[in-house]
Amino acid sequence: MILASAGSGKTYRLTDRYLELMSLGVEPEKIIALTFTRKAAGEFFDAILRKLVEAIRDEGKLRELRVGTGQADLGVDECHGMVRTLVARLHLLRLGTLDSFLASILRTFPLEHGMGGSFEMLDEAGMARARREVYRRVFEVAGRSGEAAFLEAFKQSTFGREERSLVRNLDGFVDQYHRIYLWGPDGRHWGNPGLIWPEGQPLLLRPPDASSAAVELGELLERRELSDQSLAKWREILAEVPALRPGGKLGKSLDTPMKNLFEAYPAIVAGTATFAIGGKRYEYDASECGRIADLLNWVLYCELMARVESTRGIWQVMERYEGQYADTVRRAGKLTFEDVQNILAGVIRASDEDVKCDINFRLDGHFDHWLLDEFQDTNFAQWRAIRELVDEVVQDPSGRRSFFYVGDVKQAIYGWRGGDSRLFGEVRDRYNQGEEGPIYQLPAMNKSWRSGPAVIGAVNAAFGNPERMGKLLPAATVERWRESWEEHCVEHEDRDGVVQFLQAKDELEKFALAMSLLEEIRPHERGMSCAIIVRRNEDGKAIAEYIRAHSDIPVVVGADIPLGADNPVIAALISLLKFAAHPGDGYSWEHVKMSPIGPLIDGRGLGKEGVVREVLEDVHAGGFESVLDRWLVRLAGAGVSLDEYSRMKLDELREATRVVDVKGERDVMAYIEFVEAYRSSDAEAEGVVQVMTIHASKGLEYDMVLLPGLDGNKGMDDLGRVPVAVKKGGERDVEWVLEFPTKRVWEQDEVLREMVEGKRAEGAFEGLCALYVAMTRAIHANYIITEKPKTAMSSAKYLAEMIGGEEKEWRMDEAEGVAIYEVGDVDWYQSRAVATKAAHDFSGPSWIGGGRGERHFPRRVRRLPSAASEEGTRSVIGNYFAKERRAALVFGSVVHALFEAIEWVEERDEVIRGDFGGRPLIEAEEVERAEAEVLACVEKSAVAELFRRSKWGADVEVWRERAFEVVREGEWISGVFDRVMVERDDAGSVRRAVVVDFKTDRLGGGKRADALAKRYVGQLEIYREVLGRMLGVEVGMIECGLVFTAGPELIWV
Amino acid sequence: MSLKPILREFLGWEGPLLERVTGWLARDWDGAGVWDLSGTMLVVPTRQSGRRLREYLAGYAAEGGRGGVVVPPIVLSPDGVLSKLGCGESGGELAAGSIESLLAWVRVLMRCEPGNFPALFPVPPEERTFRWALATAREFQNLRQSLGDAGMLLADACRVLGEGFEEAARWEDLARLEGRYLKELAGHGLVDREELLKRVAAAPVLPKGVERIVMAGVVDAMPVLVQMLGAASKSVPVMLLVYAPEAERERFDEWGRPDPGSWGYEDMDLPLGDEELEVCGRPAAQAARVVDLVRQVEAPGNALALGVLDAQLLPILERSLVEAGVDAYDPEGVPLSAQGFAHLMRSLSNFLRSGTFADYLDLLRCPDYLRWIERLSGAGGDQFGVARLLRSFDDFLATAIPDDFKTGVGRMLGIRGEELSLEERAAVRAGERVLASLGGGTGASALQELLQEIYEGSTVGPASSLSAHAIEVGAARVEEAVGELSGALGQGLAGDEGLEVVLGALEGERLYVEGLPGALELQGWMELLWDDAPNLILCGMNDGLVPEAVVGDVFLPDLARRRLGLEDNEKRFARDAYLLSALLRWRRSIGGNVRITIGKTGADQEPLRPSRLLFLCSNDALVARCERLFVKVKELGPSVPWAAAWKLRVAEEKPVPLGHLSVTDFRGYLACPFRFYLGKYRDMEEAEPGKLEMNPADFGNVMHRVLESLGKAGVREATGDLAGLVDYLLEELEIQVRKTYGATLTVPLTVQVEAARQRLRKAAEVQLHAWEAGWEIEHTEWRIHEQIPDWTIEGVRLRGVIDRVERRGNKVRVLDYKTADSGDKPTGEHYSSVTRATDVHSVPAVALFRLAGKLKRWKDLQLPLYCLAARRLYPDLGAIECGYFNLPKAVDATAIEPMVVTDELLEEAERCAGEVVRAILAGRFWPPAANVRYDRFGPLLFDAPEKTIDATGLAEVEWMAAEGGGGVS
Ligand code: SF4
Repeated sequence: MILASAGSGKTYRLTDRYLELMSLGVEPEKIIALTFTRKAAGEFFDAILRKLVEAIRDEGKLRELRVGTGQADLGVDECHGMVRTLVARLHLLRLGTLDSFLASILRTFPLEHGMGGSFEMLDEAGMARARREVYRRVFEVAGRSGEAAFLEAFKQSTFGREERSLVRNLDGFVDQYHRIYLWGPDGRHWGNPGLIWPEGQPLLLRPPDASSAAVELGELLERRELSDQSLAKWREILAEVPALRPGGKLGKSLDTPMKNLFEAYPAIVAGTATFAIGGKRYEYDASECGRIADLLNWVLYCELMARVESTRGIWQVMERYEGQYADTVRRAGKLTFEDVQNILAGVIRASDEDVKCDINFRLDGHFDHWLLDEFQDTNFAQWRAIRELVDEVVQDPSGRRSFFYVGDVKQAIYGWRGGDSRLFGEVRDRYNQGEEGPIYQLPAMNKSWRSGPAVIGAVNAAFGNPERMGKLLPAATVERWRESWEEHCVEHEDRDGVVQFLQAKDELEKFALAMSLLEEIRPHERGMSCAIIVRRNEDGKAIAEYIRAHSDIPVVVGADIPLGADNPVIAALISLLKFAAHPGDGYSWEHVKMSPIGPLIDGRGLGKEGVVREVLEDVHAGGFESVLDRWLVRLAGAGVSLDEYSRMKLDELREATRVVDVKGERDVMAYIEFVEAYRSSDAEAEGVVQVMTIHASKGLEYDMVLLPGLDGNKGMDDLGRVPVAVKKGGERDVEWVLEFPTKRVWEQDEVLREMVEGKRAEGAFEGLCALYVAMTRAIHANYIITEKPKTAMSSAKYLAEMIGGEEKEWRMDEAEGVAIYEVGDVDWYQSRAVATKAAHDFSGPSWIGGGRGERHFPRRVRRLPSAASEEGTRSVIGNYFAKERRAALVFGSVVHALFEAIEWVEERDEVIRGDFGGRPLIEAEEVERAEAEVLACVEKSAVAELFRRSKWGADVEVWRERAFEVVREGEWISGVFDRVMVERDDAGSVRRAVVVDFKTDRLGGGKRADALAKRYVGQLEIYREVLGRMLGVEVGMIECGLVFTAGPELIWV
Repeated sequence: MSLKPILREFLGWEGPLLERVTGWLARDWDGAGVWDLSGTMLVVPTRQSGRRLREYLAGYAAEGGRGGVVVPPIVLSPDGVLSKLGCGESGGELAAGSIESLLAWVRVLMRCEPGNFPALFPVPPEERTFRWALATAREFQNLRQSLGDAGMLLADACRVLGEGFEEAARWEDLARLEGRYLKELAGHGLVDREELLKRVAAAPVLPKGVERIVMAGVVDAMPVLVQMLGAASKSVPVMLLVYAPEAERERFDEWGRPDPGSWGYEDMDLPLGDEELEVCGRPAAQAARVVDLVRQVEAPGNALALGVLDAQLLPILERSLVEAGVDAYDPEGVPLSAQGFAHLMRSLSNFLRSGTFADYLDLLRCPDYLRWIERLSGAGGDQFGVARLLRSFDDFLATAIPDDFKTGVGRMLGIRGEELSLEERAAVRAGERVLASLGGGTGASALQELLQEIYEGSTVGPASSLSAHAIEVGAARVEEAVGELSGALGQGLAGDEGLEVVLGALEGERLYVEGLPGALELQGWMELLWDDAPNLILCGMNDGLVPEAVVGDVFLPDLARRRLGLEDNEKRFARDAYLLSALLRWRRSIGGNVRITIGKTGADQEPLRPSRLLFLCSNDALVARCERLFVKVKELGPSVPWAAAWKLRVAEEKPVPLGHLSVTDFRGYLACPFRFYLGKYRDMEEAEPGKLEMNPADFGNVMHRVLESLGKAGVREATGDLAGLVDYLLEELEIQVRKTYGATLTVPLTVQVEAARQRLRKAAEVQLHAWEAGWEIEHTEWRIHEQIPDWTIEGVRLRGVIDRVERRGNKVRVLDYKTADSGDKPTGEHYSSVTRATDVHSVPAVALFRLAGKLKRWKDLQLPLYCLAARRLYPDLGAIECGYFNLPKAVDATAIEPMVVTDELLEEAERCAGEVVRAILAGRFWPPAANVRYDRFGPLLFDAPEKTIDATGLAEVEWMAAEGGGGVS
């Protein structure tokens, strides 16, 4: 295990470990290396190979590698061998993310986990849709079973609150309780006082008798000389409080008195208290206070009971939701990443027994050595899913297997999605029962290879002073931080740069400061990378928009901005689609009309009806991309030229659209939801200022960083409203759940207070981590820009307290503020010249050299002769499904088969059954009908002579169902002759050649054979020519006949 | 294998495979007239290569003015051979179709007790639903098909894998289950395809007229094919053409398959230069690079073979090429599932499964379906409005919020009965027809009848068109599926289950398309050997794709495949190593050019690695090769700064003034003149497609109507006490709800109605107090514009409805019901203070006024204007009072909240109203106000209105001046 600080070369260390294992003779497929992102996995592998290659090429690098791997005698040949091994086993290497590894386990063990068949991953839009579908089912089920129980549960879940929107409430519940439910599905753990207060909660044990307290207090107070107003208020209190019931509420007019009373609560409990009721302060003695305390405790009791009740109600609602979700979504094979983790972790349980899978066989692997990166972000379910595998490794007595994990608790910023940095220590302790356990903690890495002295100096100042931190943050937070903190040092002492901490008077001024810095430094023109890092997406969007609106600095907002939300063209196209699906949507219609699409619609005279019809038709026939393309082409045709940014965004839109189209999805709203939630993948950009969140910035580095949005509206010590309290066990299983009561209540309860303290400490720790990550991205310069902090402990305030010094006026262009910290060279950037953009020319020499230029035969389009008869025809689709047509098709092929079986009618077998395959596609009587029809042809009528041997000369050859391939007029034609008869004279030259084509069209009812025959002229012309070529005779002498079997009728063409 | 082909011939690689094979076939042809190959059965690797060969044969025959005609051989792919030779007579038994086999599996699975197969189903599924059975059945079917390649059944595999095998118990379970499955089929007189195949492999029946079998260029003949051809060699000669020089003989087995032992790294040094390899970034970057390369080729359609080895690249490459002016297409065609027909089928299936009104609307939006309705309605041409129909159904869904279709339709007929238009009626009838025909367990053929009916009036172009092809194929698949479903195995399936099976049968079906002449084909790996273009580009040459690697599987991981003799990673590597060297060798000999591009990152950011084949080089070259292939690629992302593509032309001319204004309009203008303009002049209201419950406005409407009823004469007397009043209101609520939502409410509506009840209970108390205080209701829903038709402001007529006018002696009071959750106080809702912090661009100057010397801004003029109206109606009475009747979420706060309106305030309000109207008349709507909360126009403005909106026709709004007071433009 290694703790490695930001920029200290974690990945480098991991690659060393990998190579160390390989040089010890471990086969690479026995090493599993799991990273947090896919990108990291890719970089990891490249780094390994590059290291080897460099070592082969460069003596110095080889020495470094020897040190890194601890293999002092590592030679070039061995490196060579390792390269060979690696490239030969690329497909077997296990380098990837933990989640994809888990998914591959589940994919190979579906039946072991109660799943039928394969599964697909749900995307964000898919999840939202799935949720709605589940609601609908829940409602449907509730409706069917008389709904009373469900309504009762719902009512209980919102105990004491009237709720107008079921759906909105459900959304709230699902957001809040989904994960909790999965880890604690047992209803007994929800709102169960026995579990929350094993010793008993005094209030709940002995609810005070409010009525008698009120009566007694009333009597006491009547005897005192209180002001009229005060007495009146007291009377109100004495009337209302005893009448209060769990879930009820006191009238608004009691707000102030209750506030005063609870402020004085400690004193009241102590026995004497002074406070104001009805505007006047009085002192109250012990006997009064005793009664007052009873009344107040009754209020507390009611609220606590209400939360107990509502928690139980919420469980009932969640149980229905989750049950339905499991049924309709999960069991249908649609999973989220979290589902995969939870299934494998046994959180979503497939059965009561533990299933044990031997993954080696089915995964084609055997993992002896584990390397885990960014371990602080691993969540407990992930860990639990792999724990047994790791156990095996760690506890392997042979010592031939290993487990190696790296991370930085200080960068644990994924707590909000389950990242569980406590695992770091827990895992160590799990295996190290004694002092010396199997897990060695290697020396922490605290030297920054990334940042210069200015940046690291500020980091040390901001995070390396526990004493001062202790004054600002909860003790538990500071303690935890101290455990993972060590003073940072710098590899590149001479790296120039600066750290400035500026304060602005308000948000706009803050943006102005940031912008003026960018305008002054112009990093994009000096070839420097620059990022604006903020806490929340919204902040990023706001500052990007500010800069766009007020300057020419090219800012690019990370991929977190949904597609539709930032480009007018996409927005208009979405409106067009939305209108087509929902023609009542005036918003979309007007939007489209205002956009350049509007004139196109008018120009084509479409109107609403036309647009709806056309767009729906296009979606239907060709998918969404075809609609986009069509309108974009039209726009281009109308001279609307799109800027580069829009074109780029449209490319992303197409990418997203394809995902939808491929699935065959044609529901417009589903498409729009998908597109609106679609996040294009991140890429580095050059020559621009990138705006991103702290979370997105993880693992990245920039020459300079602006930090103008550290807080969002959340502080370091901001508790917000704790919506729910969950007590978790060591296995993160839920011990109890309680919807959280107000401060008034929890302050009086030890268990709940402890809970709040814990949360506060945790929140502050995450705040520190986020700040640490934000401040360690810069190579040269950090510009921290905040508003003047208010009293609450925000990041801005924290930093100001930790590193802030004297205020200095600070002004740049229009913007002004104060600088409270400044280290380094403010003009550091001046040494980098402003470059003018050079146009790049990528066109190298052509790759096409001499040699034969083209294919031997040019590619030809293939044509079937029958196509000639179809040109320009349209047919009714309905007929394709008509019994008659189906029957006719089968009938036709039966007739052809029957004809094929006949060479000459004289020689035909008694029964001329052809081979129609095994399936009874046609009724027996149909076959008889076909036989009868064929017989009629060959025996009677003008047709008969074609089949009568006696009508032909001695040397006659018959071809039946004979295929041909031929090139004709540059086209490649594939065809089949139904029947050809070639009669030759004694000299062997052709005397007569006849092509016959059988047609089973039904005649009559206005359909006449001679008229029909016209359609087939083209087809027969081709036959004629081909046969002419085959026989080497003039085309003119080939006779072509159409046999209409229904007649029967023979028509010469 | 004891059976051997009679002849194994090595074609050498002096020329392309097509040329070599053709040359070989043409040995016996005299070169004129008919070239009769009809006695030959020719086995080639794929459908597409067969086609390519036939084309080449035709070209060869015609070459040099020979004008020859080919009577082609029977060309088959290995799969084709299996079905052609494998489905002969089998003692009167019928081979089960794939749906029949699927259904048999489903039956077996539904009946079996998973507990009896503990190794296979260690965790029994919670519920054995049809869906589960179907999914599992498909897995088993696939597994059996893979084994079928080796001529094995599950039972055979179980035996081969042997007892000591890791998962022996599991395979035994599989084998037992297979036994049941076979029995199930046999019970229906059917025989399993794999079983049949296994049986006939030993004694294949050749088609009539076949004189010899030639297998050419097939490098991975599966065991069952080998067995079959070996058996056939007893009756006809079987010849094998290997595309390699004779000298390489030892590197192939007797069936032409590259021997894994001789195509490894030790054996090979591919003729490939580092400069021919290029690593690109993401798919888009790679596609762009390939387009570059293609464009350097003259007539790429005929000079270039383009192999697209990574399917992710296909769509983007196709599109980029076409954009660059190069015709390109994917000969693998388009999936049927992307065609309109599949859309209709899926919509039908969804509707059938859920039966909801909303899903019916999805079906309704399907053009094929709409055409049916148009025909059903009998309303032709312009009379039939799609937009109108969809809108009306959407509206109905949004107002009545029905869940299932049947109830929804019932409500619709109930509410609108007589007024339903022809088209609406037709849409209703169509839905009922669909349910009637497929809803029950009415045999599968009902589907065809329904489709016939739906498609009665739609047409498609000639058979060669894609749409006709789609229908042709779709109809054929439906026919087959229905045929199999109609058998005994399909009995007892529900309509939607049957439809699901049919949909499954459409899945994976592809429609092949003809490219334009000279178009560039985007070919798959296995096709490339059959292309004789001298220049070659391979793109997407990444590990795992070529050679394909199977690492891990539910049943057949690599180890198992190897033991079973199926294609495994080693064999695939050898095959592909051979293929790549064959692709390169002959091109080298004629000076053809080669480029290979390799992706670095996939579409969803997964890192990609180069194909292992590319390291088939000498040790000396290896390091340089690695440097070339593991190079850092700068993934240059969007280095393009944001720009607005265009401006929305919101108003080109000054807007035509409205004829009247509503009292509630002022609020909109005062908040933001521009947004007011968009909403009022351009009618920009959004639809709410996914509604499950009442929105706040719906809720308010219901409450309004209930409260309105309090104004009826005699209510007070009739209701008596509180309980009576509560009863009355609740009953009224019942009536109102029933009117719109029907007698059976969905669950969310029930919850909402309960909320309404709670609020009304409290409202009754408040009402009773008001009555007791002497306030009598004089009017409800009092329409200003009817009462005072001549009331105008600046010449514009005013409209408005006062919820309630009350009177107590000489006093009059006007009330407005507010049902928002928050229960705001009226004063704060009407005006607020202006401070230094107020953003000047959020307050139009017309909103400003002074109250007791302090600067204020109007936010709303509703109650003051009501007061002014009431004053006109009651000119003789004294002061008019006003307020909100608040019915908020916190029911304890239910109250009549008065607003104090002094004469001075009314005067200010009137003045403000006048100025607002003047500003509106002057078209002062630009620009939008800053700091607007909940901005529904955000998606149009992008927070940069100057860059995104063109409002030429709008005059500028006068905003308040920085220090308050006055105005600036
Ligand atoms: S051993 Fe347990 S956790 Fe691991 S894959 Fe098997 S069932 Fe899942």
